[in-house]
Amino acid sequence: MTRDSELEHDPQLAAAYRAGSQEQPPAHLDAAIRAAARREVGAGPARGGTTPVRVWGVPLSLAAVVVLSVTVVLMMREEGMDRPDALTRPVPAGNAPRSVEADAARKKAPSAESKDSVASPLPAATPAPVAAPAGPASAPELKQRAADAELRALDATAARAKTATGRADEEGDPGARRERMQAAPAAPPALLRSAPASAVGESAAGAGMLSRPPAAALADAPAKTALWGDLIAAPPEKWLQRIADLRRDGKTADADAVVAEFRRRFPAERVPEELR
Amino acid sequence: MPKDADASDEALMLGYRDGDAGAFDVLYARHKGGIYRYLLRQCRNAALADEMFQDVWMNLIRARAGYSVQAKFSTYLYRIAHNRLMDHFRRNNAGELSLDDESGAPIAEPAAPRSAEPETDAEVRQQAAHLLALLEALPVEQRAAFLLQHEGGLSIEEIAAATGVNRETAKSRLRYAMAKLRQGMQAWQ
Repeated sequence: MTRDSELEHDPQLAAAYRAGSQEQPPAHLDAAIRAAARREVGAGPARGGTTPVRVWGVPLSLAAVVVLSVTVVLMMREEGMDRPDALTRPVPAGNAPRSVEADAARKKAPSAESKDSVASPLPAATPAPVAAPAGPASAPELKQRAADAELRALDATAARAKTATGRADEEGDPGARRERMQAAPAAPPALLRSAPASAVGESAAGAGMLSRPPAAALADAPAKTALWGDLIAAPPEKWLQRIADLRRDGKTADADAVVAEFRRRFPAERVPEELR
Repeated sequence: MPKDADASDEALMLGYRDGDAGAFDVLYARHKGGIYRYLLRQCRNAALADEMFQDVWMNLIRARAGYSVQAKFSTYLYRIAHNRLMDHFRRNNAGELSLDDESGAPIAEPAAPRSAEPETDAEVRQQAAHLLALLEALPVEQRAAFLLQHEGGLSIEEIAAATGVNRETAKSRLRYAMAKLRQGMQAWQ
């Protein structure tokens, strides 16, 4: 009987084999594999090193939230200046400063303009539709002014939101775009039917929608994950058992999906022939 | 990185798992030649070997987060390579897998290695080319056993683990492979 040591060591065969075996993988493969390895480490959760982004990410995010909150509060206070309590103060005729926002709001709401002119007198050259009383306003008038101010504030907020949306579009912010798309009315079915499939695909791609998975795929992903979700920490045997169960039940597509995931997670494990 | 250069394969792989890309570079440099030649000798097609070589390393990279030391790293790595190769054979040339020529005529016990050395470089090259031709003529599983031993440095137990068979089967395959190669090389001894 041959001893294992004789099988494990034959210097002459080994030397002859070494003499003819010097092949190496091409350099471009070396570079591609090393780059992939580095990318994986950069994107993976098991990263051990620290980078400036990791160190400062959370504090910067918190600071940004605080700054935004303070800005919003200040803006809200500013808006509050137009509210009824501010309007009750008498305004000297012809001297009241008119903000651009207020002007814009007035232009947008011509019906409110005539009433608003009571509180904000127009320049002398402009004919006033209603005479502006100099004294304090009566109770119904105050009520009307408060309503007008509310309208102006809403208009101004909408205008700012519109500007912000435009900026987000220019910067390619997918979140803002997505929100707007969800809010936008759907295209008429007739139009969708009449458009060729390729055109629809191209327009979707052109609008930066490639990053959004199709609705069917989104709906499908949790279903597939559900097939192995409870096996994530399980040993390979459990996975194979699940595959066998699915095959036995005739769920070929589900079994194939679990096989694919199994291979991804356990590349060193074999899938028995009967389970493939 | 001198520290990495001295580290064991398993320590390097654990380092890579924990985010040390430099550890991967050392591991890759250690094993790329062996894995590449293992695949090349088995599939005998450079383009295909390139493709499978990349797949093997990508599989290793993707599986890094779940890596734990359960066997020698080289056994683990060659098992990935062997699985990839077997998948290819099953898909493209299932017949080749059944050529495990262990039922034929009994082979002679392998002769003990001799110490004769070839005298010239040309003789060395001829001897190597002859051995590679003999190797190519072996059935896939016997060739795998020989290559895993000579490229991966695996023991019989590790060859068994890498190819998913028991120890006796692995030993038998290696024994047949060595016997045939020795017989074929007798003219050079």
